[in-house]
Amino acid sequence: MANIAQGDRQALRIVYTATSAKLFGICLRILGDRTEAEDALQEVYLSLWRRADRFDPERASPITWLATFARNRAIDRLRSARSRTADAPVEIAEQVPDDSPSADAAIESREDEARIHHCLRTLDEPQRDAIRTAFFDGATYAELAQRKAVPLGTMKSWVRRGLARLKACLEQ
Amino acid sequence: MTPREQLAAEYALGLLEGAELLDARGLMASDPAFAAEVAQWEERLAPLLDEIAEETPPAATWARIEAAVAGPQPSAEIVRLRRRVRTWQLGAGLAAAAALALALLPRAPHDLAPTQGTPAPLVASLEVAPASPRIAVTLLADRREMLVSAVGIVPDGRHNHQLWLIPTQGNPRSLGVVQAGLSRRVAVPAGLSPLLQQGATLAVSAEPIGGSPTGLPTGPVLSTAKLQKI
Repeated sequence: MANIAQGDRQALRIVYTATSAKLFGICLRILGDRTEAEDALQEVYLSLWRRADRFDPERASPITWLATFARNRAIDRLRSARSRTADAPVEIAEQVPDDSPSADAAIESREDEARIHHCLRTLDEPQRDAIRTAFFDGATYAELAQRKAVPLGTMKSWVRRGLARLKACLEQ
Repeated sequence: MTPREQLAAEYALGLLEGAELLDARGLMASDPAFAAEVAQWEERLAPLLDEIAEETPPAATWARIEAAVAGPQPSAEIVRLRRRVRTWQLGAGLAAAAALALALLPRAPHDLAPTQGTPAPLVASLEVAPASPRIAVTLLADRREMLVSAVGIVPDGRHNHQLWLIPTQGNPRSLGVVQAGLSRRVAVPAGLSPLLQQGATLAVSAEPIGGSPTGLPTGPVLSTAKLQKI
C-alpha cells in the first residue's frame, strides 16, 4: 500500500489481484447491479492510485480499510443513483438473512474480530435486522421504515437503541 | 450515547440522508473527534464484510483501470505535484473565466478584479455524481460574488442542485440553486460573506425544482468540499 502512494503501477496490480474479488463482492452486494459494481470497483482502485497516502497503517489492516472504503464508495454511488431516480419506487430488496450457520462457523475462528457478531446477537430481532439491512443493503432510515412498514420515528428509535446497546457490548 | 456519538454511528452505518447527512459530512471535515468516532465504528463493523461472498470482477475492469493509470512511471514528488495541479487546474481555469466575466460587466472591472493586497479568490469543486463534471465555485476576491460553473451537468428535469455553506455552528445556509449546464455569476447571500473564508465547507444537495422548500437541505447531499486558495 505504501508503494501505491508512490505511484507504483506494479504495486497497484498486486493489490488489485489480492483484493478485487472481495471488493467486487462488496460493491455487488450493496449496488445489486454488475455494471454499477464494476464502475464502483474501478473508482475504488483509481482513488487508491491517486490518494493511497490516506491509508493509515496504524489504524487498520489494509484489507479492512479497503473493504470499508469500497462499501462507502458503493453507498455514495447508491445515494447518487437514487437521487437521479428519486421518483421511482424504492426497490424492496429481500431481507438480509439473519446470522446464517455458515457465517457463524467462519466467524468463530476469528474471535478478536468477531465481537461484532456476538454483540449483534445480543440485540432484539427488529434492532438487529434493521442494523444488518442498513449495513448490507445500504438502506437509509427512510428505506428501513418503508420496508418494515413502521413510522420513521419508530425505526429511528429501534436503530438508535440497538446502536447504543451494540456500543456498550463492544466496549465491554 | 451523546447525540454526536449517535450521529457518528448512523453515518458509519450509512443510515443518513438530507440535512443529517449534511451535518455529518460537515463534522467529518471539521471535527477530528467525530471523524475518529466514525472510523472506530467502521472498524467495528468491518468484520461483517467477511460475510459477503467474493466475486471475481471481469477482466475488462482491470484493463480499464490499467488504461486510466497508464503513462510514465511517476515519482512520489510528481504524484504529489500532479495531485495539486489537478486539484487547481479547474480553479485556475475558472479564475480566468471570472476575470473574463468581470471584463464584460458594465461597471468598471477594476472595482472587483483582484489586485495586490486583496484576498485571493477561493475555489471549491463539488462532485454531483461519480465521473460526472463537477460544480466549480470560485469566490471572487471581494467575497460578495461567486462564479458557479455547472458546465457539462445535464438537468434531469426533476431536481435542482443547491449549494450550501456548512457553518461550524448552526444550520446549513443556502448559497442558491445551481443552473445546470451554465456558468453563472451570482451574489453571495447577505450576511454570508464573512463566513466564506478559506477552509469553509460547502455542500451540494439534490432538491426539488426551484430549490429546497424548507430553507434547509431536504434531498441527498451529493458531496462536500472546502474553499481553498487557488
